[in-house]
Amino acid sequence: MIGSKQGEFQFSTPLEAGELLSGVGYLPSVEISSVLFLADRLKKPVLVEGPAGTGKTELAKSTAKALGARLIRLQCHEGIDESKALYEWNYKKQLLRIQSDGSPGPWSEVESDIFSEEFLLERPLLQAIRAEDPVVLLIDEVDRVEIETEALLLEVLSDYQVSIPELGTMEAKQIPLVFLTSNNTRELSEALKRRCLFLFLDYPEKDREMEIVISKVPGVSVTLAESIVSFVDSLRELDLKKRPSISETLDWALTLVSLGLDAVDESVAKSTLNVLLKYRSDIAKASKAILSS
Amino acid sequence: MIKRVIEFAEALRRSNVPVSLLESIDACRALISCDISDRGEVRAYLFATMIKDQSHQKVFNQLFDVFFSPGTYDHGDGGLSLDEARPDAYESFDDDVDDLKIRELIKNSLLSGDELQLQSLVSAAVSRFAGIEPGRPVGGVYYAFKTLRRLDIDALKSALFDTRLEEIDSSDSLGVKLLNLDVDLALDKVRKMVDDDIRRRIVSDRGAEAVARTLRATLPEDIDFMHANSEDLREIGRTLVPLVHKLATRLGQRRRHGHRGTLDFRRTIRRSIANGGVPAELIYHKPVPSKPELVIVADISGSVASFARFTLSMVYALSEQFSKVRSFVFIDEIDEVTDIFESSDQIEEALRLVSTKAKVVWQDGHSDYGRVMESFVERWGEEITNKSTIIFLGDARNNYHPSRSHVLASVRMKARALYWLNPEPSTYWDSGDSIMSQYSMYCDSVDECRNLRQLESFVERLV
Repeated sequence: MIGSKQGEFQFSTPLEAGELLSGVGYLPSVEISSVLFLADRLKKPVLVEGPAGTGKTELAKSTAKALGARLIRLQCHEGIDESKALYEWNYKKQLLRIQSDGSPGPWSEVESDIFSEEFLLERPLLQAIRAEDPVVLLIDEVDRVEIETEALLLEVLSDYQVSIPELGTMEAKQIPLVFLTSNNTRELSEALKRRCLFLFLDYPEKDREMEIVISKVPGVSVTLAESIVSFVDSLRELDLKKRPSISETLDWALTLVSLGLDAVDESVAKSTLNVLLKYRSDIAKASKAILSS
Repeated sequence: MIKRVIEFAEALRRSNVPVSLLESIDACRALISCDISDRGEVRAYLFATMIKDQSHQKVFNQLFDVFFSPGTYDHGDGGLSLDEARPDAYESFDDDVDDLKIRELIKNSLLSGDELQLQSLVSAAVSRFAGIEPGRPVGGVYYAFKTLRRLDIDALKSALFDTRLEEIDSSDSLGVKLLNLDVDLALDKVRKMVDDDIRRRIVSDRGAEAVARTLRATLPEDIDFMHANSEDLREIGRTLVPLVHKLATRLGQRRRHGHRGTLDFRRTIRRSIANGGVPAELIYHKPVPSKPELVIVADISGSVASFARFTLSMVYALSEQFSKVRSFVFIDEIDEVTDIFESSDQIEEALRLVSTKAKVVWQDGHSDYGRVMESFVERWGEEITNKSTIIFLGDARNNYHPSRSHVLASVRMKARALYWLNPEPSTYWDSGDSIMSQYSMYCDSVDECRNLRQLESFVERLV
């Protein structure tokens, strides 16, 4: 660990990390608050995996909010490269600079002039490294970049520095919290995984999902929340194309509340199943397995 | 403490979970900064630092419970002490409490949701029922089985269900179903407590290292198809989906980033006109990826059925990578099932149809490879061309029928390639009624394919 930066911890216990998160409306499980605490202690990035709609991106956003930090987001896609992730020279401005002087001086002077910070365009990773204020860096859907590009991230993630040939190495002024999310469409490289802490966000436990429903859906009663959650849970047991995520549970709860219902029975479940399930084959399967008797 | 983490890392590696040196150092660093009297926290920290793949979670949990089981863990001052648990510390019932009473007590504490009470009741039940003999090198499965049988877990389930049913409106069929699921969950909790308690006892008896070795902690991709029980099969099925998904992405990428082809002379000259005839930019032929036409011939008799299922579903999930896939299944008669797979978008559904619709039994329902090959050539031999890659799936156990391997030779002559995948360990080949070597001389390769890992590597080589 880097000596001078030790001692500046955001959380003193995992519990505190958890409380800060709940303070901004994100209800964490024990695993989440423990890993968050650990990431802060060990100064390591967190690799978040899990099915869609379990709050991976939301975790980074909420952490930023809870810490009052700025969120810097790098949305990954196939074909992303240095100039989009790290930095780029402002080529047009450099050209203008050279042309604006009638008689440019010796080349060495021009060179050191046009490769100065004035002409540097910061991209998210460099931005996060150079930020003076507290930041949270979110590298979203990291599994979409090609394996070759992944290497770009390694320097930033392990040493918190960026090397720019013309300017030298830029070290982080402070070590930001980093989240990487992945939908697991491909195996990430060992090197990247080794540098990260791993957090798997699965569908929440029953009690936690109930808390989430109660806190996010105004006007839902405890009994309704309970039957909503156990029904959704039973759907997730089935072999579906797309299992209902937390956000779909919330949508469904909202639907039921706005319909003025206070309990889940068969006919209600049948008529509103399309809020939870998005494929026709899934809906058919669920009605067959759970609803018919 | 550090010693224990290192032993734990070693045990994980023995189960094929990659844990690097850096990762075990991180684990130790993490434990220093945390409150190690909280077992949940310790588990979260070790998981976050040592495990990087969700499919390793089950093995992690199994081993974690052995190495950091509550018995060896938090007595006294909350520090991590590795003292042997005192045998007299276990809960037990007085002799005048009969077995029925125990069940009743457990049911009541499940109803009231009192975890601590439940824990001590379960522990007492284990003391009475399991009949643990110290020093025996077992994993504890048998003790758990004995405890649950004497406790009569099914009776417990129906008792619990009946009591809970009185609380709700029994005409609400959805409510009843959900209640059923709820009761199942509660019983799973009891089962888990029994397992934990027994594990705690045998770990304190024999030490974590020794218990970890007797435990069968296997990653889903290493589970042997032939010895998988139904839970293992579900596990393999779950792992198969993401695995295939990743494989498809990898193969697709390889195709796109493939080698450059030969120089395209015509287009290079054409492009050079723009530069006044200087061929400044060379144009290459795009490589045409060869997409093999697959013919899969699978034995689906009892012993190797699950292997055929996984192979078929993997191949069909990757069907984009092949120009055409035809599939045949057999036991002692062969039938084509390509249509079933093509008309159904869900592989599970298709596999179910295959087992009901395909006509694969001729006489006695015992595999007869020779007869099947003859009938295959007779009916579809004309359609085998030099584009077809044929894959036989089966254990080559012919039940002492004639091999008729000359038929296979004639198939090989016509086809582009002929592979054989055998789900048995290669040391078993040619033992008993296995006649692998009579067929293998006509195959381009015969591969042992006992688990998902081997299957995946074969499919990758194939494309």
